[in-house]
Amino acid sequence: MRRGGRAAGLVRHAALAALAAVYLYPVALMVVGSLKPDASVLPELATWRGLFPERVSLQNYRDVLARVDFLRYLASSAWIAAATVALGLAVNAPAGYALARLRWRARRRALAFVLALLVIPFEAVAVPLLYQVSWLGWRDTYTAQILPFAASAFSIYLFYSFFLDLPRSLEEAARVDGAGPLRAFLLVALPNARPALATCAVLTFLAQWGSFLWPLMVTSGERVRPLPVALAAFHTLPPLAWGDILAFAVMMVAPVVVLFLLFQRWFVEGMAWTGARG
Amino acid sequence: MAELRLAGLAKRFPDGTEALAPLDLEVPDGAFYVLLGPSGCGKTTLLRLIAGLETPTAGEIRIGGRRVDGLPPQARDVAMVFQDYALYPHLSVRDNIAFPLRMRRVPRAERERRVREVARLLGIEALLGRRPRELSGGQRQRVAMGRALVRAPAVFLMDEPLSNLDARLRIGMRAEIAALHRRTGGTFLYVTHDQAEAMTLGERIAVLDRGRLRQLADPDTLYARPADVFVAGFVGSPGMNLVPARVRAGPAGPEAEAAGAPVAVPAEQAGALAPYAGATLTLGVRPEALRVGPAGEGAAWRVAGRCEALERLGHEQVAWVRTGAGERLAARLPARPRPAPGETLPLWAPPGALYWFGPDGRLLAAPAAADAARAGR
Amino acid sequence: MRATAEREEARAARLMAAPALAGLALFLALPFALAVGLSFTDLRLGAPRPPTFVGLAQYAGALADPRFQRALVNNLVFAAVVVPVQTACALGLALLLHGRLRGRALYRAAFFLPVVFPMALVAVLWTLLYAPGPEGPVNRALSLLTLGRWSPRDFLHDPAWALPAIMAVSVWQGVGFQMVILLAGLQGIPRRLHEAAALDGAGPLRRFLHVTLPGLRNPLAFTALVTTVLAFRLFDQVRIMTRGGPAGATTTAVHEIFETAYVRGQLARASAMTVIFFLAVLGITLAQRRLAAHRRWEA
Repeated sequence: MRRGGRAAGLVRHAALAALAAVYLYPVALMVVGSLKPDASVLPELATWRGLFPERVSLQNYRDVLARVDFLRYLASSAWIAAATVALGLAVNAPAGYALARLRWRARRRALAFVLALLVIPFEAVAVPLLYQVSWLGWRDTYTAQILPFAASAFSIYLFYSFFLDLPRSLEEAARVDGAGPLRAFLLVALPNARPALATCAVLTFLAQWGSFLWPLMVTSGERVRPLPVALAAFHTLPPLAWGDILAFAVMMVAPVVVLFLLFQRWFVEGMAWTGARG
Repeated sequence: MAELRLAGLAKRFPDGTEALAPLDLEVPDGAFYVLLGPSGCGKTTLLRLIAGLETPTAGEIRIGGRRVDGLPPQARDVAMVFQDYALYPHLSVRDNIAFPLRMRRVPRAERERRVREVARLLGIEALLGRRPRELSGGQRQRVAMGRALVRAPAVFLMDEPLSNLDARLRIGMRAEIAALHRRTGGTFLYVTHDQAEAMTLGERIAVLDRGRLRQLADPDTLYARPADVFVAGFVGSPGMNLVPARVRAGPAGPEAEAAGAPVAVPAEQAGALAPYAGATLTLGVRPEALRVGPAGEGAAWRVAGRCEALERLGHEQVAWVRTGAGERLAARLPARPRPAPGETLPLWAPPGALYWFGPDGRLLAAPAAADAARAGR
Repeated sequence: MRATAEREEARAARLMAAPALAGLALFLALPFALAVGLSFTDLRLGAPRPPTFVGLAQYAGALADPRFQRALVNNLVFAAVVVPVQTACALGLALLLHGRLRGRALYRAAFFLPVVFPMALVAVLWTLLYAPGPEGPVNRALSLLTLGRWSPRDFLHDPAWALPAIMAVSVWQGVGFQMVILLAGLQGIPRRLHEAAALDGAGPLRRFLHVTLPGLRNPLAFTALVTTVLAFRLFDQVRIMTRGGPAGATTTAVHEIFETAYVRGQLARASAMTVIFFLAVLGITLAQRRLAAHRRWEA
């Protein structure tokens, strides 16, 4: 669709630039505020000094690292997210493949099972799961934060639909060339499932990096506490120092933003793809 | 290398459609057989059954005497070239060709040697480092062939391997495939819907229609003695003209009438037609056997019709003619003279050009010359 | 003999599917069954005596609990406001970004950025933005927009404003997700449909109504469903920004479940709430799927 001429284009750019500026204003306040002395964050927030400070320093960042064990939280979050992504890909991709491609007796029932579980939100099992995890002695462990999230009905469904659409002849060629069903999957189907792998990895990573309710319930100490719970605690930890809080926030989001900028395509296309499938 | 033997092989899909009626076929060791038929005739299903990509509902498959139906594809020792080539997009040409060897745990050095050998044979040595998406259609085709050739399987299966190439490339590759077969001495089973390909490549051709084997014969026989009306109409370009013909008993043997014109039944065919007095048979005449012009003494059938369409092929032309009785006939004529559209053409056929098919469509009588040609082989 | 190939394939399939299916059974199906089972008992955390069967008493208790009632109403109101507002905003942005535009990827990234932010962080950040008094950026912005007629207030402690404040945060964080899906939907509408409509004399508005909107039916249905379900799963923002207050003005089903189970240790009551919560989500999902399927059938 070719819309209008140059003037219309300019209007569009102006509108989008203005909207984006308003939209990202809170993000800018966060970054700038994290560089300002604590005492001047709130009073200057809504003034032009909110975005253009007199002096900037990394003092808040040093304060955060001194006040709490930020690096431990970061390591916990990173380990939980990375392990869940790795385990998730390892179990959900083959399951989606088996449901989409292989002939086995329980296939239809297994598929119905996965589709039925698709409608159960995590919040609907959080309470009994806590009970279960306590019984297993998993409270305050990484295991409790990783293992229950490895298998995912959504990820299985994502791989299932992806493999349904993949041309069959590639795996058939592999079978005729001498591969068994497992090797046809590992050596031919999987290397050609990069979009699904990336989408699944990104969505799992985001969910785990931002996870709040479950770690809040299942962790009580500092040892395995991930960043979101740590931030919520830090936010109410006296003395209230907004510069420190914002510095914590910036450090917490920086890894995700870097990943987002590096793999923007997979973030955006992954979500768009799930939308088209819905 | 090994022979391939199918016995009572049948396939019915879960939805009830019969893709393949029970079929027997034997492909001797080192032979080049072609499965020919229109799309949907079951020829690709047959190939996939042999490869193990489909499960037969009945019957057995033996390769080199070993029963393989029931075995998974990788245990059957067959190689297949797919219509869309099915090259692995994530692997280089070298790794694509080496894949079957890798699956059989052939040592790396040996693998490299055989890949080079096959690449040289196919003239694709320069492409070994590339990815499939960087190749032209013809190059992909060669890589697909290479992947099949590299491991000397018991049987080569080819599923319309040339149908995605443009016409010129196709004719070139045809000759190459024939040469490859001669050089490797492998057992080939080749699926196509293109009769020119079938005729030039196949030692013997199996014609399939709606899941049934209509005829298995060498190309000459297929043309000279089609087993039934389907084969007669399918083989040849255009296929044989088929016209209903009423037969009645005459004073000197059977007499017949087709398209409103009497047919002089040749003496050597009279015996075959005699039992069908009163029945309607099918008269077949090849387009290339029809002549234009005033008939000489030898005309067995004379029929006139209006020229409806003309296909000019350069060195010759095909005239589509509608007879007074409403039959549509094709006649392959010399390039000149060129009839005007709508012009009435007097056509005639010599006695040595008449085929007769029974009410069930099976061949009753072929021209004596065809029998002679066949006997001479 | 015949079975070898099939057996091999079935064996591989079971091997490949088993870990994920076991995980789902253990960490989703089993706890869900447990929730249903516990909801008929009187189990409390740390109670010395074993739980007894109490029938539907927990359900009656949960539904009679004014805080839980309030929570369900809040969820409904939240969904009723956020879904249309967020969808409209996302559609507007998608339309602005659709078509030839230099720097489109940059704009798209800008609007998508908050989607990758953890909700806890968004909640903390907006707690600052909602700071009471004239120095709070939101108060300041509203004051500017109303030419000074806006009197600053403490949004998160104001019973009338706390829920709308949380809604605004959720829209801000979630609009980019919807936008990206709708943008992909717009790109999926064949250009020749627009051209044909233009040739038939349809103006921009008619083209939007008769070509664009019908073409977006599936992505719209999908995003509406996802946003509605998310509205019912609302917890993080509420927990961090208001703890459900003031006076239950912002409490939600999940927040009540959390409070009941985790803070008060009433596992059975929380399980009953969980089942009610699940039935609500299930109802919405089924209703919306039916609606979407129905509209598809009409087309």
